Amino acid sequence: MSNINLQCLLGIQCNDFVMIAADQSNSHSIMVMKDDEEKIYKISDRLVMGVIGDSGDTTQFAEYIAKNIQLYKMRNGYELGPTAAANFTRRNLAEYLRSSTPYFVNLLMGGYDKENGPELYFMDYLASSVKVPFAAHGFGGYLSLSIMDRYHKKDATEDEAYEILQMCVKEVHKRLFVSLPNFQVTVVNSDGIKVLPVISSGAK
Amino acid sequence: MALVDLCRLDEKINLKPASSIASLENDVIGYSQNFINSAQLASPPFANPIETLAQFNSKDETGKDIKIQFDHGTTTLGFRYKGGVLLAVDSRATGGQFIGSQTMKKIVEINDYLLGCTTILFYAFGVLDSGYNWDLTDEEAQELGRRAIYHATHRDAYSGGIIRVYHISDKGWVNISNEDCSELHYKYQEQKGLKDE
Repeated sequence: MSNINLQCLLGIQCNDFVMIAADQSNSHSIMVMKDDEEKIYKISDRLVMGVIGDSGDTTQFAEYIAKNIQLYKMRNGYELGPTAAANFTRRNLAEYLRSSTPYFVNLLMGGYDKENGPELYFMDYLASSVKVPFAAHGFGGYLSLSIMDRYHKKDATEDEAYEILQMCVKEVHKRLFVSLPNFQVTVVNSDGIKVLPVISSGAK
Repeated sequence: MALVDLCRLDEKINLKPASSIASLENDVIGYSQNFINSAQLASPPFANPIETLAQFNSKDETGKDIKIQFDHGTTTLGFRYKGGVLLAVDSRATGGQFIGSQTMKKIVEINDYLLGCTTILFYAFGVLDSGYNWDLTDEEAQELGRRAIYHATHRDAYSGGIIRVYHISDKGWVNISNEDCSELHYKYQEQKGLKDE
């Protein structure tokens, strides 16, 4: 049985940045194997991807996408923007879905485009791709979505967005029966990628 | 079949179960037309749905009257705070995929001090938990309850209609407000500085 819904990904896009949070638990069956796993991958200078799903698939797929996007940059001398990267990723997911070896991964892709500003893409293992102002994956996402509906605003600062994510994680810790103690947070803005402090259940 | 045509037998004997196939085809068309034409809604499979659907909820399979009705896929919430108890509910009643009523009263006014209601949705929990503390004022509590139900109606297709807020204190219960969730939606959007999206 898959634990894809027991993991959690959160993403918020505002006027100046896009912020992604991912839980850090790696579990097999009923056992938690580790709680400091990295689920947010740096794809390029201004592009990150949060990936959850079957544990082998997540790493394999994320690295495959990251390396191919780097390869594109070497061959052509310019980088894929977030939209192009999302389309490339979606296409790959869709093609693998129709093969005998599909990747079972849900993901959020956040990046900063020089012309269009920050962008957030929601993608699931059935290769749907939607550009959204905020999004969430997993059961924790159900709990978080109404909080984002309530508090998200376009002109939020990075601190305010981090606070919204803290509220979401607090709700996951309070109401979700799964143990997801740590959430790593990454923000992408015009300056590049920045790693923010981990949101933990112990911290206030 | 050529011989049948030649003898014109088909005019005298009905060889095909045409009527049953036609009704099946009509059903298929009726239920799938909204896939082709988004403006056409699938209609309930019986005449006069408002009355007929209501009957489904009042009798059990043996035809006996049902004394207690449970609402599925609906949102009601209640919380305790320093000023008493606050209850808030939506008013949509669904039967399968069809909306039976948009104006149902899900809170039963038992007496001056007692109100009864039943389900809470995780969408409502998110807003409720993030805005709750024991020392809320009456107005804050009412707005929190109303907000929580509104956000649940926004995300959940089985919740909607009118949002009713009740407040219970040592003086008994008071019905604070009954507002249409769609009007609330535009009010909240305006507060956020957003025009209709």
